[in-house]
Amino acid sequence: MPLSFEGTRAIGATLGSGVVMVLREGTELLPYLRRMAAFFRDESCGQCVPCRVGTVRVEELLARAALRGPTADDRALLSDLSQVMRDASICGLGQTATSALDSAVKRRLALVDGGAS
Amino acid sequence: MGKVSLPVVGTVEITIDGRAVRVREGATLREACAAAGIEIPTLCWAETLTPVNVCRVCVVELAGARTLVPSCSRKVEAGMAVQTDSERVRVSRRMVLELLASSVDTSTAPSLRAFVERYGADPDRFGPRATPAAEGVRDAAHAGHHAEPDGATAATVGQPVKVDNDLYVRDYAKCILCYKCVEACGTDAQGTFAISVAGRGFDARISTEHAVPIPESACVYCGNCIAVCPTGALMAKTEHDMRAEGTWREPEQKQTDTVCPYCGVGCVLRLHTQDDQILKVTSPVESSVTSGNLCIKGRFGFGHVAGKDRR
Ligand code: SF4
Ligand code: SF4
Ligand code: SF4
Ligand code: FES
Repeated sequence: MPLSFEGTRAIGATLGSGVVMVLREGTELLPYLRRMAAFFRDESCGQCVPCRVGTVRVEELLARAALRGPTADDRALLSDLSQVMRDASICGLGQTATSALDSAVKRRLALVDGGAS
Repeated sequence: MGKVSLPVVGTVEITIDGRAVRVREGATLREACAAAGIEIPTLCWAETLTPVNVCRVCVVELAGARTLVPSCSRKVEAGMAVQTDSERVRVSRRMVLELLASSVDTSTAPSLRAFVERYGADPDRFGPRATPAAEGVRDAAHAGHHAEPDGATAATVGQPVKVDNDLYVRDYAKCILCYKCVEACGTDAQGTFAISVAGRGFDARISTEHAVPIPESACVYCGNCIAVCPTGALMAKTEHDMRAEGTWREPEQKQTDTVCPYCGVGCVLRLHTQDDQILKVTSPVESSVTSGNLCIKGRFGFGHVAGKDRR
């Protein structure tokens, strides 16, 4: 895959800042996703509501899932949070803050019932 | 005589919810919607202030755009087609309201509460609210650092009310960070620039320079920030104290418009009275003299009217 906007788009990913992270198969993803959520919360400028509060609620949701195991409610809440952040944030930071998490959930790699995450 | 056909100058045609609407060039989508009889919810927008488009409760769906657009500031362009009540619009509005109402105290914010009701927002779905921050903690937050969530509670902007002068209080546990006070104090009305947004992300907050108390700041006590605050975070001290005592009875209060006696500007004053006592002074935002703004004398200088030694 060429490391370009077109190349990453073709496999349903985003280029971001061009970082490629390689994880061993079977690696527990939740800690990585929590680290990303914390990063986006720290980097939010705080101007608009979807990103300023949304990044906090996403990080809290993952902490909750880690504590007591994920539920269907968590997935529904994440879907709503992702949607408002993607659709109504002012800039690209809020609009893409949940991309990795959304894709992990879509591929059933995180927030899976019965899973540790 | 030949038929004269004049071009329609200065208007554009757009489609709102499937209806063709012709509006003035340079109008915003919100204005176009209002002209078409569609009321759009707003929190950070005000007629007298420059749009900052930060609350995002006014978003509409514009055909061909990747994201929703803020109708309070997005200007009309010929041929635009917008939906004001699509599923996408409703989800984003409901979520913005859930995010706000779950993180601030809405007890003195009637318009925000009405929107929460209208859009069926459920601010409690993020779990029980975290303990409010102790005094000064939010003011000292360090950008880029935060405590890891405990997985049991939802963070809020909760903190003690700031009572540091005789005229007004700042209860930032109620602040939705709409920027209205900053604009009123700065470029859009007062030109004093006593307050601004400090910090970043969820720690962003309205602050004086270096978070000094109001008497040590540049504030001139015009109260124009109080007048535009949509949540009651900024409130005259009289009202704050009476609410705390349970003696503030708004439904009983009368409003009487008069003219300020202090200077030649002749600002329109609206006296809010209860039991024949003046409790608060505002100015109607429609007033061509004030646009809702006053100075310290007009807004707070009414104590002498009830003075005991008055003859
Ligand atoms: S009272 Fe006037 S000068 Fe003081 S902070 Fe408010 S708007 Fe600024
Ligand atoms: S104090 Fe009031 S006017 Fe100022 S940002 Fe907060 S809610 Fe808006
Ligand atoms: S409110 Fe201030 S500026 Fe307006 S008439 Fe009264 S004294 Fe003059
Ligand atoms: S009213 Fe449009 S973004 Fe706040």
